[in-house]
Amino acid sequence: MRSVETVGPRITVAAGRVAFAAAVLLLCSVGVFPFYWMFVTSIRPSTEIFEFPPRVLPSADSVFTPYLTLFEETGLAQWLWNSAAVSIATAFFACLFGAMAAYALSRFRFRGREASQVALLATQMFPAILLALPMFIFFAQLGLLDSLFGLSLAYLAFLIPVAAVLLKAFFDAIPVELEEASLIDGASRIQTLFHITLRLSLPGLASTFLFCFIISWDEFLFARIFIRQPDNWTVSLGLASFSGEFVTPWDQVMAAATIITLPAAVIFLALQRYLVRGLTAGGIKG
Amino acid sequence: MATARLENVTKRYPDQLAVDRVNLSIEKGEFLVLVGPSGCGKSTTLRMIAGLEHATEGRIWIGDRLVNHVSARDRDVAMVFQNYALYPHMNVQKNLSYALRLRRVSRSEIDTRVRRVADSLDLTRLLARKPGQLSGGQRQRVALGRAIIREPKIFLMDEPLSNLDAKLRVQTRSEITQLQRNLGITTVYVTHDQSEAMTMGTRIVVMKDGRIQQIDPPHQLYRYPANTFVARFIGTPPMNMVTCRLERAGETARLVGDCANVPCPETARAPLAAAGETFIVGFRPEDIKVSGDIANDAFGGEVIAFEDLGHEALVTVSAGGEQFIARLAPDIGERVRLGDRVGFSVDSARLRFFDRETGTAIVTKGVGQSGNQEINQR
Repeated sequence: MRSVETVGPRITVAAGRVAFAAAVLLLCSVGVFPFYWMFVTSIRPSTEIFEFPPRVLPSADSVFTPYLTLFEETGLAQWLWNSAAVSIATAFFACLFGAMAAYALSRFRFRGREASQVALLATQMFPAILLALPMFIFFAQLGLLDSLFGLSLAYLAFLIPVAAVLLKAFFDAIPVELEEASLIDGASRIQTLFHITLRLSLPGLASTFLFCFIISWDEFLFARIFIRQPDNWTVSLGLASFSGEFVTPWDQVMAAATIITLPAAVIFLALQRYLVRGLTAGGIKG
Repeated sequence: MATARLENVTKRYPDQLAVDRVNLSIEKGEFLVLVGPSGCGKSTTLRMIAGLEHATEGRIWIGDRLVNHVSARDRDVAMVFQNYALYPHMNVQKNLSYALRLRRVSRSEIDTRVRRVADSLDLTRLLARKPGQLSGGQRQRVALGRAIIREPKIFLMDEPLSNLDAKLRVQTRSEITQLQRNLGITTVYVTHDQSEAMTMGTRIVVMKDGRIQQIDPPHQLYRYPANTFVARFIGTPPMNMVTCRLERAGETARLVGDCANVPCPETARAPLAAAGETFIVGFRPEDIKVSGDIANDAFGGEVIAFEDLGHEALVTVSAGGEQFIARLAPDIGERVRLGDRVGFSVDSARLRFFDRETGTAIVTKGVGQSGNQEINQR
């Protein structure tokens, strides 16, 4: 026979779990709702978009024409391609050069090491808008305006220091004895870097790559200033172009926003396991 | 299997002199132990042999080859690290074969060697596991396996047992010794644990503040310490040290101090007379014999501490400002009470004498000498 003493705590535990689950659900809803609303608005007939009170559930007359219109009548496909090229290239090179800087800062003792680290952090202390004008003039002189290569270069100027700081924390967490063991086992420095250090830093590299990718994918200010030709627009510029002086096609804006969110979400989901592991691994030491 | 030689090797960091003019010759197949307290330069010396640190001055030879400017990968040495340094993303099989794969050894040869090493270290059933899935002792064996699979010229071990619990440490200690004797590979082993050094090494190098204090086989080191540092560092409890002066009365001479009043061995009279007004007399706790109450021919005083360890009793005796420890058989220990005044005798051949200022051993005629007095008196 079950005594009251054992049933009581069980009920308390169950109630606690339910309350916890409800709290998690509520927080998730707050996070997910804007995306849900974005998607629902994109498929709602334009006549229903400004209805009041708003309807939370999708309309029975839902339409997918805004999606077709976007690909048939705007340059969205091109903008997606431009954004993907710029973001992937930026994230890749930020990780590559950031890893080299981070490795040197983590493993070698040289004069100016501390100052270099402070300098890396200092690059993040200027508001982007402050640097926009000098960079615009500089890039104009180099003939890099209105080019995706130039835009990627501008992003790299900001992201390489961030990547270096992030990756240094990961490298610091890898015991130097592992590299020494590899050197004694007969590997060169480069072999050791690839076989041991980078291999063990994969979570860090993944999270740094993701961070740089999302920053580049979302960036608007520099893209607005450096890029003129619609063919060279990135998705954030394309999205902004929908806002007209007299009318804004909100269904198309929401459809475009949904499409634009997808690649970042897919990459995030693919790498999220590394991201969580990476952030904690780096955090302990850093 | 090779010899190694260090000639006047010095390692200087911007803020510290880590190793100071070390001269060392390691014989083929020898098990040499570097021992000393933290920061004495033993690990730095080992790392210079490995090629992980560059010597600021001096020359390092492995076999007939000067290796000062040879990188670690080309020195053909293997090293076992304190934290094992197993590659966490590789399984045991990959960890063992990493060095062979780098040297592009054929796959069949790798398989054969991995199997042989795994068999000898009882790792066969663990080959597919990653280091994170192994116990401390198993990791230790993998680290050893990774070192021996290459058949290097020299084994270097940097406190490989310090992460193991006490029981496993004793077991692994004898396994390593046995393995080294079987393979016959020249080994340099670093430890701060003097009992490890005494039980494993064929010769022991005691270091302090970057300098070698004494190089000798364990027995010689224990019996004839070159200075007070070695005398205190080797042995648990350490060698007793009491300050004495030489008192002559006609033909006889006595060693007299706060807790000593014993005849001076004849062979020691002349050197002690030349050593200064006072000097240090050393004797091991186990060399003490019970002689009843405080007598004339005795080291004695009041019992201030008593530790019964079952197989032996440690009795701490104090007189004046000095004290010493006697290691006694348990049945004798039982008769001693705190506060008792006791006197002990020590075989005069077991007495050691040290200069009070420098701590250096005063060499007396007929008493065995350390093999490297020239190092200690430099």
